[in-house]
Amino acid sequence: MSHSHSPAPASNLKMGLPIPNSKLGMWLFLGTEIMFFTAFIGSYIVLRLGSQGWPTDTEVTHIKVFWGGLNTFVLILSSYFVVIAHESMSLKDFDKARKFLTLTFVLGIVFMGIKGYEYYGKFDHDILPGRIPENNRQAGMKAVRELDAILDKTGIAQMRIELASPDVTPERSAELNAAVATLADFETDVKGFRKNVVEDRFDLNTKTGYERMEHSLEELKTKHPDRTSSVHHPQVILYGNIFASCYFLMTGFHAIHVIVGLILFGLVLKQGANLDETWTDWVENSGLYWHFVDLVWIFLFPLLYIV
Amino acid sequence: MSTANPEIGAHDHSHAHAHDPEDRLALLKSIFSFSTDHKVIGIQFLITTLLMLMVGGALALGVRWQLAFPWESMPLVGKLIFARFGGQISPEYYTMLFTMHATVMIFLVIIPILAGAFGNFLIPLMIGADDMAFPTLNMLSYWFMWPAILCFGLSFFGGGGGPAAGWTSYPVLSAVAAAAPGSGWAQNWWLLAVTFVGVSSMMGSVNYMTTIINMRAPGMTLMRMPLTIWAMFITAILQAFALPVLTAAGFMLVADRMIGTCFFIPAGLIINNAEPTIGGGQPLLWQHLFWFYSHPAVYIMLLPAMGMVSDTLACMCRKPIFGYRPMVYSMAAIAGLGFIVWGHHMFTSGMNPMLGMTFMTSTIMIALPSAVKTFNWIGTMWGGKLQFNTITLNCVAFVTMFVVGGLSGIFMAAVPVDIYIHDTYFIVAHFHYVLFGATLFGVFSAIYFWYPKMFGRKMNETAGKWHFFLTFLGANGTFFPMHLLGVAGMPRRYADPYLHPYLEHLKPMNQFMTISAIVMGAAQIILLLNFFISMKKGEKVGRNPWGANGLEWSAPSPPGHGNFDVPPVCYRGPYEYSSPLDEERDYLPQTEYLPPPEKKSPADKDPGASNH
Amino acid sequence: MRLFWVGFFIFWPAVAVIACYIAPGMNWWFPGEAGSPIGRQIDDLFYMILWIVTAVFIAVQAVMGYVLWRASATDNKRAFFSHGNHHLEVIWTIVPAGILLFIALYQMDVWAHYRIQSQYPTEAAKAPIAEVTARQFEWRIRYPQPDTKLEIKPQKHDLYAVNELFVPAGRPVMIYLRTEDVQHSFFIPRLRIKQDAVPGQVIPVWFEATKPGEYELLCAELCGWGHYKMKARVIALPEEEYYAMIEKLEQAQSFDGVPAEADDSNADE
Ligand code: HEA
Ligand code: HEA
Ligand code: CUA
Ligand SMILES: [Cu+2]
Repeated sequence: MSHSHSPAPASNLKMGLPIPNSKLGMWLFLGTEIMFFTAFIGSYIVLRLGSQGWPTDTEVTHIKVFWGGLNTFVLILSSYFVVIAHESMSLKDFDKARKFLTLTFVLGIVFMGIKGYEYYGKFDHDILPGRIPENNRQAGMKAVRELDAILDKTGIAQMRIELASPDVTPERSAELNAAVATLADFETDVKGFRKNVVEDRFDLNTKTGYERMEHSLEELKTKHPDRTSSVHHPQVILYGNIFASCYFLMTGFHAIHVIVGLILFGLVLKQGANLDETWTDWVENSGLYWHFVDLVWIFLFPLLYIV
Repeated sequence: MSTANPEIGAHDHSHAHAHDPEDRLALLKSIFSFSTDHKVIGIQFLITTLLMLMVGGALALGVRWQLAFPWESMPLVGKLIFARFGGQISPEYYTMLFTMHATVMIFLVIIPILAGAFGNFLIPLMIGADDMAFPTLNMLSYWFMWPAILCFGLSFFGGGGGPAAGWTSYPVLSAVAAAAPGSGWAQNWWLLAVTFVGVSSMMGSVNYMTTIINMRAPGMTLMRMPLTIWAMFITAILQAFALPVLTAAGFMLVADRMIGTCFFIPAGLIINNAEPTIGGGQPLLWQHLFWFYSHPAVYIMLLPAMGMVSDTLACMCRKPIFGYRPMVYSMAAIAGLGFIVWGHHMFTSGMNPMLGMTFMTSTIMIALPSAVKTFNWIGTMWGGKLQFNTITLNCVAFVTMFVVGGLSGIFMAAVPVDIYIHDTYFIVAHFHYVLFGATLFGVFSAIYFWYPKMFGRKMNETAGKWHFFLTFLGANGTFFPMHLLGVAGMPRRYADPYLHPYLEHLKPMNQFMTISAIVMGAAQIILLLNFFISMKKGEKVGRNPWGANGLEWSAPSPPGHGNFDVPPVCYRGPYEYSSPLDEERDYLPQTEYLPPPEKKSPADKDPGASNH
Repeated sequence: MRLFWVGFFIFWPAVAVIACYIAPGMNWWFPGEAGSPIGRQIDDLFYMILWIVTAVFIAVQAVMGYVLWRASATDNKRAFFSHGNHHLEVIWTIVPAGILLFIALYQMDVWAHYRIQSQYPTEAAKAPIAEVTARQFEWRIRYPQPDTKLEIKPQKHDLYAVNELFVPAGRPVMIYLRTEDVQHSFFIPRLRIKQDAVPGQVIPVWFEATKPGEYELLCAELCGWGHYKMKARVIALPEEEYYAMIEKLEQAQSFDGVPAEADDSNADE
């Protein structure tokens, strides 16, 4: 390499783009994120178009359009605050930046809170993938399964076994007999209901059959209110499982992204009064990310809540 | 023939000792550390993947054993591994064997050896940067391999069978555990591992793109980048935009298996006599998502090798690469077209026949950029000045094997023909020719070529030639007959094809193939020994043993921390071999400044030439 | 060494070509002649591609051998300094492009004939002869009762069989392909027919066995541990024999164990 490094005339160019690596990296990363959500949204569209129907009645699906809309607004506002925060960072007005970052952070939490409320509604009504009956028979079977589970938990079967065993003490026996007696009524009702469903005495394939089943279940529930409080109303939602799958998949991954964003902002806020210009790039890049999360929601909201 | 090019070696030696590094194994010594140095990470990847190659190969030998001697107890290891079945491979284990063989080879060997090992080692060196743009991220991308390896490992022990749906993992088989008893947790581990590999590559690719865009040395314009760098760049783009789709699909499949969603499960299937499934999903959706990634992935598994072969071949032929720009454009075209051909894996799946025609046309047209590249490699050899050293041999093998694998692709791209040969051994022949035949030979040539930069020593030539010779014969002996098996209608993924009378007579041929595979396997042991022994015993060399032009050759061997002792400046393209500007030597490094040449130099007339 | 390695790189393509050349004679080739018109068309397309590809293969390998031989000469000449040639690039882009486009367009018709609904043979499409349901690990076949149409929904008088599909020879027939569990693929090598059975879909497939005879039916999509043993037969019978066979099936199925004279009411049960 004897003559290799002789002084070079004017090639001291900076190659590449005039932006810092971190920002370029963030943009590219967001590119991969776009593909990630595109896959979900594309799948959703394919599944929805390919399905013979889709539950759109918000009464049934417990979609809360108003709250979703509010959440859209919350996110857009928070995006705006991030912009102000970043601007203040570049102007070295760190107090202002902190103030607006806090606002962003709070709005992020509000978003998650509303999301949580929406999720709660669905969990409460058991609108969860894999658990939604799509026809009357499945509805009946679901009620049976839930009742059976409660009956199992009371332990009546075990008590009977224990009673039948020869070495049970008289005291224990009395105790058990008392317990069984209090449960026996419930057991008979559940077994009766089960029999009616399994042997299809309700004639579940018809509308009236379903009503009979519903009625009988209501009766059972009013008779044993505290035992059966966790039994869900077996609402039939045709195509409900695929709907719930898509809903939870997309909103769930979006929520995870919101949490990551909150962590990014949280790290800045943790600096407290020590916030200085070394964090400017950080704020800018997290801001970019936050805009992206916002943008995704702007696609998800109409797709999931309105269409 | 122990030195590739004696004059060059000698020339180099006279300068080398001045910078002779103290410790040639400096890079190796830090491989057990969480280093953020791209070279260390590259070598970590290289060694890990070479070991994984052995694991994947050993699994392949299991597959081959069953195909040659079905239900016979495997020698040596059979009693150990398959003790429960008296040493014979049960059909469940056969499924697991080829699934894990493919998975290990693709996700733990080929992709990480190209992008992870060589991408990491070469990108900063070849563009004249001191490290990657995000060294910590880079380190993480290596260490994320380990959870993946661990999960793949665990999936062997998932209880009674391992992942049982092939590397393509088509639902419903993969989505409902009951469909493949015994695959329960194994399949979950498997999917989880694929996700980890995905995260690892995604981190890598963002890093590579940023580095290549933003960290080039002064003067390293885009059109002066070595083709390796172009290939890595385009590969990174493919990774970044195709892989998230697989990751997303992977999450959906895991959810189907574990939390009751039904993206890929239609309603009313009666699996293993259980209750009808509740659902509403579409199994074909997975195939679309999977191939949307995995077709670009096959080019992810090829492009870097193409790039590296372009560099090693030009250097070995002492000739500029033929048609630099067409080479770049055709790689870009392969990548671009690669996104719109995924449906050719699904011709018989019952998708819309119009789509079949579209996918056929785009698939056949993707042969065009490949053709341009093939002809340009031959153009590069033409009029060159080469010697048959290990590097050259592997390069040439790359080209001839790629042509075979590519041409068999044409049969399958033609839909009507694919109706017959789909899911037969013809397909297996095709992809082993491109994956083993092309990519691995490309990788071998790259290993021999850049080894001196990694460890300051050369690998042994004699051993290298034996390795090449046996591998080449073994590979053709194993994979060429697969074409004939395919034409004869032997379906793939069959634990015992001879159950079907019309395939019985193919057993001797399968036995021949198995013997060839064993030869090929033995040859890989030579490679491994050569690789490790040469670290201590190889011939010492200086900075530029091959008389090559790239920036990496101006750094010490091995380069110290921060790579270059003199910050490199790039003055020309990387392929100025045998340039008339330098009468003494047949190479002209990118870092060497020459006073502006007189206008009559032939290089100026040419559009592909040095100074842009 | 030079001679050895150049010879080596010429030798192996030669072996490959010879292996293909002798393959049919060694019975390493198609499993018998294509037994259906579409199969023959597929074979013809296969051979057409084979010829083109063989020509390309031999040309590329021969040129490469020659180039290698020249480039490895041991004289003292320097390598030829060239960055490429514009004309050559154009030529070797346009010519393969033409060939490839030709291959693509030439395939369309057969594919359209096989898969596009409007081109299905009308007679066969009107009266599908059976529904084939794949399941782990067998093929279940449902024929309509003689003289009735096959319905998507199983009917009371449908006839069932396992792993044996009877078809009339010499005319196109259509089946409905379904799967009860995971994905399978309906593959009849000698008729060159393959179609995946996709969960949740009913896919019409048509084919024709020109000559009466037995044809292997196997599964070509990984469907679990027993994938390799979904062994079945398609039995093509001359038209009358086919009907007779279906009649026989019906009698066998409706036979309740009591000889017909003793209980002749079973016919309308
Ligand atoms: C490195 C990996 C790699 C590469 C580069 C390729 C390259 C190509 N592949 Fe391949 N392919 C795989 C890996 C790869 N493939 C794998 C792993 C599978 C199976 C997956 C599974 O199911 O498990 C597969 C499966 C596969 C299928 C699905 C088959 C089936 O399942 O039924 C098809 C169908 O079209 C196909 C086509 C092609 C084509 C047309 C090319 C083209 O890019 C090839 C182009 C190259 C050339 C043509 C050669 C050079 C050109 C010339 C010498 C010029 C002159 C030529 C002519 C004029 C004809 N491939
Ligand atoms: C890069 C990818 C790659 C590579 C390199 C290979 C390499 C090999 N493959 Fe693989 N293969 C695939 C990718 C690859 N394969 C894929 C994607 C599939 C499809 C799977 C599916 O259907 O889902 C497949 C399927 C596949 C099948 C079809 C199985 C079936 O459909 O039933 C066969 C059968 O012969 C096979 C054989 C081989 C052989 C003999 C090698 C040989 O080249 C291997 C040579 C190497 C060795 C033999 C290593 C030797 C090492 C030792 C012997 C030492 C052991 C020591 C230690 C462990 C320390 N492969
Ligand atoms: Cu059924 Cu494979
Ligand atoms: Cu492909």
